[in-house]
Amino acid sequence: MSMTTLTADPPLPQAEVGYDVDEVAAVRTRGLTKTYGTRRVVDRVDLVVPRGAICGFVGPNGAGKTTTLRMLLGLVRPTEGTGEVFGASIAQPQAYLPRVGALIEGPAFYPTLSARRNLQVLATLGGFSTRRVDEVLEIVDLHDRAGDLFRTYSLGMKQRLGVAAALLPSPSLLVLDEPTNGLDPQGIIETRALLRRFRDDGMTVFVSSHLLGELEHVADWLVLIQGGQIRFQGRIGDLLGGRRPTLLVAGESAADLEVIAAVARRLGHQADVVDSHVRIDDAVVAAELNRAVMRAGVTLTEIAVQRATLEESFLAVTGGAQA
Amino acid sequence: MSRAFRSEWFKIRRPAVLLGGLGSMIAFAMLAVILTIVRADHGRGAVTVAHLSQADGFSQMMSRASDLLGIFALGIVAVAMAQEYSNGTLRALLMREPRRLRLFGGKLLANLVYLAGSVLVAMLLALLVAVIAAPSKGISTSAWFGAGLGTTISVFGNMVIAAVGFGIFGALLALLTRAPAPAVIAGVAWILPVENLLANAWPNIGHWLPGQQLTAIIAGGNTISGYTWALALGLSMVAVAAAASATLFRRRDVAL
Repeated sequence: MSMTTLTADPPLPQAEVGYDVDEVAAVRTRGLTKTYGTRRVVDRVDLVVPRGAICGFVGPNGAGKTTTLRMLLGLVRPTEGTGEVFGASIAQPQAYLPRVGALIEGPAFYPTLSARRNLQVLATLGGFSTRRVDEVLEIVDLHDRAGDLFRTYSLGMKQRLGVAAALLPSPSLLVLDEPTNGLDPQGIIETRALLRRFRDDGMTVFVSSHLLGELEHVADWLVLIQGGQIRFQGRIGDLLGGRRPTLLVAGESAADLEVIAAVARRLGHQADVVDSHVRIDDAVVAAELNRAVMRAGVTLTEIAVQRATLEESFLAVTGGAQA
Repeated sequence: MSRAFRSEWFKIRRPAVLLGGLGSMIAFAMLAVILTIVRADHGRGAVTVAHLSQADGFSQMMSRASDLLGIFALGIVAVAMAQEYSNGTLRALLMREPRRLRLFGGKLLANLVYLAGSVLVAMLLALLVAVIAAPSKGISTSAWFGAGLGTTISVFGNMVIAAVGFGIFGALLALLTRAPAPAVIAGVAWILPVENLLANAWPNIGHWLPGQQLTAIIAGGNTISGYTWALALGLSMVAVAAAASATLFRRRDVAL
């Protein structure tokens, strides 16, 4: 059974993909919907986040990512549908939030308090020790600047402090909304490394982004959302695997390109001349094509298998919306 | 709720909040005392030396500061509550205390305790200044501490009750507007021009206005409302405002 889902009403991913999501889903929703006035921001979302995975939650701006996260965290009430986090209903967030850390819509702290004081506000409220504050400051490498006022922090430091706040409860589930927003390349690489480290420590990481490439190298599991509806959820490999690799070939002259395309079509494949190449819809035809065009008196100067990028796969799934 | 209370104190303990708020309160109270003493005369004016020398003389001085106290108390609580929305910090607070009524109760209580403490300190210092400055205008303060000691002490209690009342109205405005500036502007507009205009246009309506009741409590009763009426109606209105605030805080989506 395929675990990949490309419809608005997807079958749930199954155990053979490596995550026994029916048994151990960290997050699961059924028909989750949020309506503001007449606008459906989140539309019948059936979401599954497997435990122990880094799950990327990707969609264009305004796709419904943040609203979905807010409903999971008890900040916004669903209009319809249900959801569970670690088996507890999202209508009772007090049952699971002690095991959840989150950074939603950027780091928000008190500008005139130091980083340490800001974390102490949250630690006191959550019943965590002062020692835990120092531990999380150490994890995000802010210990040396912990006494500085939040307003003096760079954007990257603010993001790290946001992650530190999310780590206060030693969470089993970490929810991060666009954690690399505004970070420089070095900061993005460090964030990715941090996410992998959390996953390796046994955390489930649910991280949203409007940039698919940002999660391509780090996510084990992907959820694509567009227009408030889930378009895909499954492993990244399955999103890529849903599109066959194509073959890109070139000849010695422009006239050769037409010959190559004609030969490929005779072999039963779709072939198009694109710029100085011929694109053929199936890479497995490579050897057969090479022999056939040689018989037709044409020598190939270039032959390459082209695999779909994640962006292309996303565009295919969403019908063109950019992420 | 105690965790929310202690957590809120980290914010209240900021020097800018603690000293700025307390300092302003002290300044308002002293200004009221000094201006009242300076303006006191021996004739038939609104503020006479003879009147201020009576047992309720200190109460009369403090009633001059009632509008300022109301604005200040409302502003302190309104800013403290509304900033959580405008800073976006409410999201993080609710992550750590999802039981919203406990969070609301702890935050409100911490701010009201700070407010009450500031009022008491400001009143004590104002009383000290009044005792020192009053003789310069021939005002005798002996009645304040003799037969009028109970009246003088009750002024402290009335000021705290009124400050807490104004503070709770500030919390309601903060939750309605979710931004500090509009909350404070709405509160100031209501306490100063709106209520005064309404009371001037229809004298009887002052009997039913919340700000007028809290002002009457500070004065121990005035021409608009007697003390008992003001206390009963004022506290009832404050209770309704507190319940409305709690309901809003508990039920409303946090989409900011």
